Amino acid sequence: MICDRCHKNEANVHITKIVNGVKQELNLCDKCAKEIEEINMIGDVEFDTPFSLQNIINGIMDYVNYNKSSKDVNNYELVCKNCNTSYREFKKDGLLGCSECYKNLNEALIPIIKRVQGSIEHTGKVPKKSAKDIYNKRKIIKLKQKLQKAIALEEYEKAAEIRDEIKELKSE
Amino acid sequence: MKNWIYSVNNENNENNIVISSRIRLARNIEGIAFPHRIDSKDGKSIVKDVEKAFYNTKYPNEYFKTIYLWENDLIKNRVFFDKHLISYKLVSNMDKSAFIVNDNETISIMINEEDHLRIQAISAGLNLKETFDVADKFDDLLEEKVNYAFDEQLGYLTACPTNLGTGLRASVMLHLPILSMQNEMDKIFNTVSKIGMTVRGLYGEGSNVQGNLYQISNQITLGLEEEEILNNLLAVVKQIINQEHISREKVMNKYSYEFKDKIFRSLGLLRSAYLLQMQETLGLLSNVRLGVEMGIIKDVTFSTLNQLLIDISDASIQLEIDEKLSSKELAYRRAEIVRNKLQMSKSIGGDNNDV
Repeated sequence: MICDRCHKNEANVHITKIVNGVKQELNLCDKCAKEIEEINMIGDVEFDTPFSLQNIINGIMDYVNYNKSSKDVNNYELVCKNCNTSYREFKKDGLLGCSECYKNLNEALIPIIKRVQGSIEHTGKVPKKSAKDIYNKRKIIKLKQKLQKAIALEEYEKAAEIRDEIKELKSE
Repeated sequence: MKNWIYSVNNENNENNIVISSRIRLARNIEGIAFPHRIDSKDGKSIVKDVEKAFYNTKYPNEYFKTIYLWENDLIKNRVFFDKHLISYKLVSNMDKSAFIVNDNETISIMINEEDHLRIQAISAGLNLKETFDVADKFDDLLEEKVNYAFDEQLGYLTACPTNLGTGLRASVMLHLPILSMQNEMDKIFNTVSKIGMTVRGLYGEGSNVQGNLYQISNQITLGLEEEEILNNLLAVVKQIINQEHISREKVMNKYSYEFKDKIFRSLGLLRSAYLLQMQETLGLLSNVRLGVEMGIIKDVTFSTLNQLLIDISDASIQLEIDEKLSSKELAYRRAEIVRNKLQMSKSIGGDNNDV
């Protein structure tokens, strides 16, 4: 058996972990086992708790898959065209390969995001340069709400200012 | 923004049980693989690109420098982690990670953590709004030069879906000895997790609780505006602070002598012990901190206590010494550091370092 970490030496340290009822095995060579031990030894912070976010995501994914049928088998084969990360790999460590994965694995990811975050609609900050159109669009929506409010309160001077601001943004 | 370790006044206000406020923004560069999918060579070239972008922005008149983790050994990097300047993930990616930090050590931009960029601002006391504004400003500056991965629906795209949307993790470090003593923390943990927040130990994600220090942070990052996230967290933190104060007063009224006895015994122990284990020290320091917070101990400052939190870690002790110390030698040196910092038994024992 070859070491899971360096993929070079013969593995002679075997670790079995059971997290949320799922068995995980790690086979390491002497050198890698020592290095991992060194990282863990220094300080007394316990990092690999069974309740880390990635483990929880993993549990959620199992649950999502359990509830659906054959469609997920197809999800398993989804691969990102940009970085070659597959849904299968994502499932293993809870990490995507690149920003394009969100497009390429979208179908499989959306239900998971919904469960983890409770929402799939970003309402916060928008980068001014990288997403200028969206930035302006959202700003216009906010200004329009402000405009309605100003009109309702009969603050016409303020309303006129907001109207001009919207005009300016639209012409950009 | 004040550095949480070195510049804390002994102000006697209701918020003095808050040690620090921290903001972290997760950002990625469009199109390129996330740090866990790239090798050390590509990682280093990302560091270079980010540096180029950062040092060419009109950042405020402050001195910044880059620290390349691959140039240091594990111990040195671990000390940055102990200071809460970087995350453990950055340390474990040390073959390709770096961070840009200001002189005051309140801002650190981590490169090649779980995401390409983690912009962090940390300051003393309960100060979420200002801390956020600083992080936000650096985010804007970087964005002028770096193409961020952003999606209209999902917001800022991150390696792990748990950070999607705002990419914002706001956290507050609190000292809650009495709520811990009364086993209230489990209840608090259950309650806050229902409203999208979480309680963690001293060193953040996955770490154990030590010295009655807790970090409360938002769990949900998508679907809320930044301001809502901050306001929700602030509301929860204020309630917890209030609960801790009420409990303190109750205990103090009922068990005044026992209370003072415990606090001053702890101080006495720290000022005289010759061997101190980490866990024990953190427990004793928590009692002393409680004494300072309640105005019972007057000759110890929060700054001293915060510095001790860092100086007593294995990595900090080991940093100054070439050969690897045994656990007994670490305990001996730890006790020496504590005695010196708390300024009492300087003359006792002399310079005999033999263990």
